Amino acid sequence: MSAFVEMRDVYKRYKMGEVVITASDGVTFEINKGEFAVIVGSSGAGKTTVLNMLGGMDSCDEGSIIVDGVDISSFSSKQLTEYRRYDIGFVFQFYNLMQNLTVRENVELATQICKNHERPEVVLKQVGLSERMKNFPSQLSGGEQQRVSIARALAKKPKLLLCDEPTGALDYNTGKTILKLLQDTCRNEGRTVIVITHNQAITPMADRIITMKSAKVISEIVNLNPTPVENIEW
Amino acid sequence: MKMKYAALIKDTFAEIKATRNRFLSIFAIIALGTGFFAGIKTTCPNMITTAQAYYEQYNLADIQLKSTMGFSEEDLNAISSLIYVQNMKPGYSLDAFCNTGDESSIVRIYSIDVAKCLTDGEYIDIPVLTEGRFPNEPYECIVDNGIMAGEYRLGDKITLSGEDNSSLEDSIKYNTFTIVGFVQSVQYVSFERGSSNIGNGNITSYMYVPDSAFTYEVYTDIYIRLRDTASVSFDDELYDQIIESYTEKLEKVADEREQERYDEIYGENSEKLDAAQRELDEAKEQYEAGVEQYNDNMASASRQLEDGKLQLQMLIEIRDILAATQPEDLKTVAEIYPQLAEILKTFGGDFITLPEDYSEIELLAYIASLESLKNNAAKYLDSTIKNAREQIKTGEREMKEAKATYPKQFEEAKAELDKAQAEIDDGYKQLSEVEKPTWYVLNRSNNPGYGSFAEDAERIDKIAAVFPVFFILVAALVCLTTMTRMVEEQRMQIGTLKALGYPRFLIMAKYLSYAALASFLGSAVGLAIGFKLFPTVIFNAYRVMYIMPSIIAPFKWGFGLIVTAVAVFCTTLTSFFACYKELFDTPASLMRPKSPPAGKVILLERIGFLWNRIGFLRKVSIRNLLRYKKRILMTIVGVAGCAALTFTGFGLQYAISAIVDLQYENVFQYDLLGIYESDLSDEQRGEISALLDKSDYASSHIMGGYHSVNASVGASGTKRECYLMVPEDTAELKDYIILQTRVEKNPISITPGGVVIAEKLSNLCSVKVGDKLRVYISDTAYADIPVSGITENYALNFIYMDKNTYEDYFGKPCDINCFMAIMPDTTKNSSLSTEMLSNSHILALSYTSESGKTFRDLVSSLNYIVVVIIICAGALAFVVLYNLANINVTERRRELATIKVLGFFDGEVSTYVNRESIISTLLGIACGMFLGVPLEKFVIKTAEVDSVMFVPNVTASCYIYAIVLTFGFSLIVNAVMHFKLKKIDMVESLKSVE
Repeated sequence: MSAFVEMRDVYKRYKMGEVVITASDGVTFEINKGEFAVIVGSSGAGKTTVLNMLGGMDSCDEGSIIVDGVDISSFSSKQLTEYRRYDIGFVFQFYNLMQNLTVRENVELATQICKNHERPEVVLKQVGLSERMKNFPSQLSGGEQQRVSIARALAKKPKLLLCDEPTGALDYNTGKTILKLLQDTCRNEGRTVIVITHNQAITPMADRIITMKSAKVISEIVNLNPTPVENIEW
Repeated sequence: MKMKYAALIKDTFAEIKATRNRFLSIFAIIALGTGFFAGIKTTCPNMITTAQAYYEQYNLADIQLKSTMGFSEEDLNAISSLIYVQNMKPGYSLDAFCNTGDESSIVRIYSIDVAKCLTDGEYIDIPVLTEGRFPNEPYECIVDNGIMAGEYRLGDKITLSGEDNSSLEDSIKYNTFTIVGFVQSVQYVSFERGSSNIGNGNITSYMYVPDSAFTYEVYTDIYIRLRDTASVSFDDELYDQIIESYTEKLEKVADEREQERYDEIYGENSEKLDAAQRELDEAKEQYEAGVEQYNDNMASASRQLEDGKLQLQMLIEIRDILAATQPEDLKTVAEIYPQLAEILKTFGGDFITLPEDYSEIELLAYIASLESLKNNAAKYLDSTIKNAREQIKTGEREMKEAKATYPKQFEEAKAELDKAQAEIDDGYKQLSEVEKPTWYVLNRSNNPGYGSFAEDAERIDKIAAVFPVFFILVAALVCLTTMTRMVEEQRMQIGTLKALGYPRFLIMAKYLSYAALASFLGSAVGLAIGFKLFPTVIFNAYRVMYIMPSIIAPFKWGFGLIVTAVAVFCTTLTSFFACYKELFDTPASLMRPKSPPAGKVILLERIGFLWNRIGFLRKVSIRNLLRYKKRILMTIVGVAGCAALTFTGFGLQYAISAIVDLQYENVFQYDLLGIYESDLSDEQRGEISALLDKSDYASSHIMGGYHSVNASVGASGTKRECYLMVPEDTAELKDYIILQTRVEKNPISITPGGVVIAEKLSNLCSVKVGDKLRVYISDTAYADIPVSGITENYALNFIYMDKNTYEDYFGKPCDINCFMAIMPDTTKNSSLSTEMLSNSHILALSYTSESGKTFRDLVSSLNYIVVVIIICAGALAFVVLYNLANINVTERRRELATIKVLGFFDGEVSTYVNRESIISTLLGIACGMFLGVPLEKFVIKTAEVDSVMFVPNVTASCYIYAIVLTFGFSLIVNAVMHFKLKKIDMVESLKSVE
C-alpha cells in the first residue's frame, strides 16, 4: 500500500539577513491512510514547519510532499489554497474561532466554501455540542472551543486532519477528552490524523510516531498496538 | 539621570523605525492638515502683500486727475504745492487707432519722461521693461507686452491715425513709431484695457512714447501719490478712507482751479475779442467817413455841375442877347443885364459917354468902340462858354466814373466789415458758451482689474475659513485611532514595563513623544510645503487672468508655530486619551492578551426571515460592522467628510458658473445697454432712438433711467451699492428684464408706490415684501420705499421703480439716461458701437455677450480652487481610509489568517474585509450628502461677494460627482489593501502571543 502522505527529502530554509536557518533538513517519512500519526519533538525541532508544509500553508525549497498521490510541493499559491479548502482540516492550538460568529456559524464558515461537506449539526453532534450551537465562543470553555475547532475541521470531510498542539492550552482531563475525540474520528471514520506535540507521554496512542530533532526525522516507529487514550497518564 | 531614560528613548526611536507606516500615517495626516490649513489661510494675505509690493515698487498712482480743458502750468503748480501730495507727474495721453493690416484697433498712448523714469525711483507708474530698452528718440515707443507681443517684434513700426483717418498733428508729432521695447504697466493688472470714446470704445492695448512726441499745449493728466498712503496697504479700509478724504480736498482745489482757469480763458479771449471789436469799430468809422465824404463830394460835384449848367445857360443867353444887341444899345442893355455889364466892364465897359454935342467922328469912334466892345465881349463869351461846356463835360464824366467805382468798393468794404463783425459776434457767442472746465478726480478703482483682484483675494480668504477645519477634525480622529491601536498592540510591553516598576508617566512618555514627534515633523514638513505650494498654485491660477509678479509666499513663523503647537497638542492629547485606560490596568491583566470583543446577537438577527435570507458571509459582515463600532464610525466620518467636501466643491463651482447662464437666461433678455448724458432734449434722445431703429441694428428698444444708488435699511444700516432702473414704460420692461420670484417663477410687475428688488439685496438688508427700504439717490437725498417684490437676480443688485413712484418720493422726475436694445444680429455690434460713439452724448455701451464673457473668466479662475479642494478632499479620504483599513487588517490578523488557512481564496479574503469597508463607505457617503448640503450652503453664503448671489441650488451632477469620486477613492484603498492582505503570512499570524 503506497503511503497516503509522504515527505521525501524535504528542505526548508529561512534567510534572516545573512543567517540561513534550516527549519527542515532533509525530512523524510510516510504515513498511511487512516493512521493516527504523532510528530513529536522538543521546541524548535521543526515539527510545526512540517505541519505547515503538509497543510499547504508553506512551500518547501527542496524535496517533494505527496498527499494522496498528488505532489503538493509544486503547487501554485492558488492550488495550495484549493488544497487547503477541500483536502485539509486544521485544528489550532489556540482554537482560532471567529469571536462574533456562533458555534454553528463557525462551522458553517468552513462548510460554506466546501463542496463536499458534512452538515454542521451532524458534526457538532459528533463532538457533543448540539446544545451549544447558538452560543458565541466567549461563552464556551476552552475544551468546548477546541471541540468547535475540531468540528470545523471535520465538517469539511478532509483527507487529512492536522492538529497543532491541540491540547496545549487545555488542562489534563479536557485534553484527554479532545484526544479521545480525535482518536475516535480516526478509528470510526478512517480519517488520517496527524498530531504535533512536544508531549512524549501521548505517543503510545499513535499508530505511527515520528520523532524530530534539529529539523531532522530521527526516528519513525510504527506502533502496532496503540493504547486507548483513557489508559494514558501523564 | 540620562541613563534612566536612555533605554526608553532608544525604545521610542526603535519603535518609530519598526512601525514606520504608523508613524508615517500620523505624519501624513498632520502634514496634510497643517499644510492645507496654513497654505490656504495665507494665500489671501500673500496675494495682497504681493500686489502691494508690486504697486509700491512701481509707484502706482493713488489719484489721477483729468480735465476737460487740460492742465496749465498754474494748475500743475496748484497741485504740486499741496502738502499732502507726495509726488505728482503731469502727462499726456491720447487714444488713437493703430492699423495692423486691415484691422484697426484702439490704442491708448501715454507719455513718459524717459530720463526721469530711469533715474528717479519715485517716478509714478514706472513701466516694467520686459524686453528691449526705453525710447531715446521721440519717434520710438514701448508697448504693452500682454497684447502687442503676439503681433509685433522689436524694431517693428506702429502706424497711428485719428478718427476717420484724420491727422493727429494737433496731438502728436509723428504717426509712426518704432517699437524699441515691451513693457508691463502696473496700471493694468488684468487683460482688460479700458474704454475709450473713439471708435467702438474698446481699447485693445497701450503704449508709451516720450513726452517730446506730443504737441499738446496743455497736459491731459496729472498723476498723484499721496503722502498718507505711504505704508498703507491698498486692501486696508484706511486706504479707502484716505483716498475719500483727499478726493474731497482735491475736488475743492479742482473747483478753485476750474473757476480760475475759466476766468483766465474767458478773460484772455474776451480781451482778444474786445480788441478785435475795437479795431473793427475804427475800421467801421473810417468806412463811414469815407462813404460820407464820397456822398458829400458827389453832392457838391452835382451842385457845381448844376451851377455850371445854369451859368452856361446864362452865358448863352447873354451871348444871344449880345449878339442881338446893336452896339448903340449896349449901354441900355447892359443896364438891364448886369452880368453883361460886368463883362463889358472888363473890356473897358465904361461906356464912353457921348458929349452933348458930339461929332460924327466922335460918334463913329463911339460906335466903333462899342462894336469892338461887343466883339470882345462876344469873343470872350464864346470862349467862356466853350470852356464852360468842356468843364461840364469833364465834370459829368468824372462823376460817372466815380459812380461806377466807389459804390462797388464801398459794398465790398461793407461786406468785409460785416463778415468781421459776424466773426467777432460768433467769437463772443462761443465765449459765452465756454463752460468751466471740469476736473475729474479718479482713483485706482478706475484701473482695469484692480478692484476685482482684491475681491478675488477676499473670496479665497472666506473659503479658507471653512475647509481646513475639516482636516483638523479628521486629523485628530486618525491620530486617535492610530494611537489607540498602537497602545493596544503594546499591552504586553506596557504590562512588562509596569511590572518592572516604571512609573506611568514614563511609559506614557514613549507614546506621547511618538505622537508628538510624528505630528511635529508632519507639521514642519506640511507647513514648509503648504506655505509655498498652495499660495503659489492658487495665485498662478489667477495669473491666467491677472498680470502680476509671482507670489511672495513667506514662511510665516508666528503663524506656523501656532499651527504646529496646536497640531502637536491635539495629537498628544489624543494619545493621552488612548494610553490612559491601558495604563490604569494592572500589569498582570496587561500582560494577558486582550480578550477580543465578545460576539453578540444583533437586532437584525431577531427578524428571522430576513436574517435567514442573507447569505452567510454577508451575515459576517453585518455582525462585524456592529462589532467594531469605533472603527466603522471613524470610517463613516472620514468618508462623510470627504464626500461633503467634494460635494461642496462641486456645488460651489456650479453655483458660480451657473450665475452667468441664469442671469442672462432668466433675467436679462436685452443684448445691449447704453448710457447717455442725463440732460438730453427729446430731440437728442430721438436721434439715439433713430440710430437704434436703423433696420439692421436693434429690433426693439426702450429707454429709462439707470443710476447708481445706495440702499440700506433705516439710517444705521450698511449702505449697499445698487443700480436703480426706472423704465419709461413699465409694461414694456418684461421683454428686456424678467422680474419673477426665483423659486416659483411667479412674474412680478412694478407696481406704483413700491420697489422691486433683487433677491441678494433683500438678503443683505434683511428685508422682505412689505418692509421699507431706504434708497439713496445721493448722499443726502433718500426715501423709504416699501418693497413690493423680490426678484430673481444673480449679478449686481438691482432696484426697479416706476417713474411716478420716483417722482413722488424724490420730488423730481427721474433722469432718463439709458436704453436697452434687443439686437438680433450680434455681428453688428462693432459697427453699431462705432456709430453710437460718434454721437458725443453717448457715454458707454455694454453688450451682454461681452459682460457674460467677463463673468465666465471669473468663474474659470474659481475652478482651480475647486480642483485644489477636491484633490485635498481625496487625499484626506485616502489617508483616512488607508489608515483605518490598515488598522483593521492588523487588528484582525489572526482572524484573517485563520480564514486563509481554512482555504479562502485571496479574492474572498479581500471581499471579506472589503465588504465591511464598502458598506461603511456607502453609509459615509450618505451621511456626507446630508452634511454636504448645509455645508455647501454655508460656504456659498460666506464666499459670496456683496454684488453677486450664488445660485443656491445644486444640480444632480454635484451629487453624482461627489459620490462617484468618494467611492472611487475608497476603491483605490481597497485595491491597495488587497495586496496587503495577500501578504498576510498565515504561519506567523497563527503563532500564539509569546
